[in-house]
Amino acid sequence: MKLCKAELPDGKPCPTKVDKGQEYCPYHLANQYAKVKKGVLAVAGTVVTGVLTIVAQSLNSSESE
Amino acid sequence: MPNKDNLIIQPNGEVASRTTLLTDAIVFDEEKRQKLIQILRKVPAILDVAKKLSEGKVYQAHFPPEVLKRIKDGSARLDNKGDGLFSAHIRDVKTGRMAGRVDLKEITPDLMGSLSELATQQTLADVVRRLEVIDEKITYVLQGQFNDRLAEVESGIHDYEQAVVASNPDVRRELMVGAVQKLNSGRNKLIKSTDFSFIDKLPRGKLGMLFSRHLDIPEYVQSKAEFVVKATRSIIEASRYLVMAYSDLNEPDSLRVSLKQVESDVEVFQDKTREIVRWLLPESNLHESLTAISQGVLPSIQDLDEVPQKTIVVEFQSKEIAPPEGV
Repeated sequence: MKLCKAELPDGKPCPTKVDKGQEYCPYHLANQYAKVKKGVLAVAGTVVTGVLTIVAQSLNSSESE
Repeated sequence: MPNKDNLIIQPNGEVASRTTLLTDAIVFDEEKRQKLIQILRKVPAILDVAKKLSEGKVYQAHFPPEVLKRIKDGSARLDNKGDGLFSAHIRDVKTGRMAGRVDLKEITPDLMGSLSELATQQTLADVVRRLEVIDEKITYVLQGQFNDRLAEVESGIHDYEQAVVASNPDVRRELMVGAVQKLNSGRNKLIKSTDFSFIDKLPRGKLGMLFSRHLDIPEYVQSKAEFVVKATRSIIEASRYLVMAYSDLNEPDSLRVSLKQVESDVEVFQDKTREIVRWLLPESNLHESLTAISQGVLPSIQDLDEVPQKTIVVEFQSKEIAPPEGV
């Protein structure tokens, strides 16, 4: 079984073995996807907030007219 | 934190590292060393040798494995040839030189039986110390989370604590037996009921991880792993007190059977813990604790089997065995 390709914060290689067909150990693989999912959520959150702000502003301006 | 496993108290009060001493030997802690000194005092041959030793120097008496073996198979009773095989050696600790040899043929089987019993008790005490070290490692990550420890194990520990201070031997035995029952039952329930199913449900592939309902899988595993550590801490505590209780009841064979009964379940427990470790940040405290757990939750039965193959070593000063005249 291969060892994980990731590096630990102190620069040492991760000592954990990988699953068959993977290059990273379960922790580092799942951690990468956690970061991706959190990133996507943050972007989606910003987009939704932006859209809602624009909608609210347009509603306000149409009311004042 | 000091590793108690590697420390022993010498007769002069100094704390020495066990690793600097013999590795294939049973070295007695202070309490058992005192008991053994009492036994040695009753042996005229040892008294004779002790009288000839220099005052103030520290000596070691080495009882080779042959002695315990012959006590166990009963052949020590028949020894009257004095062929030198059945003897203990006295060494000067500082120089390592042989200071004398004690022929043990005159020692009664009862006296030597006590030596064998002490060796077993010391081995069990060493097992308890090892469990304490694992317990300390786990306790480190569980600060402030002790309140809901499982009641049955805790109740067993209370029974044990009451037993050791009981002055009436019958009450002491009754409480000790009760403690053994609760500790065994509590430990077995914990081993069987700790939930590891979450680990089998985790996604292994990239797609599965991307679409998993858990936003951060390592964080989810960590929250589950804390419960496993908590359960394991109780299992280790139960094991530690069980070893002490069986040792107090002088029933090492029952301890052996109680360990054998949960051996296969514990193997599964350790395998699953090893799997959890792979989902945790390698440098975290939880990772370290679970790695320690995956390497052994129960004391090794082998320790008990190895007692007859070990040399018994006891340190003493001549005045402890043969007090100076006029004292």
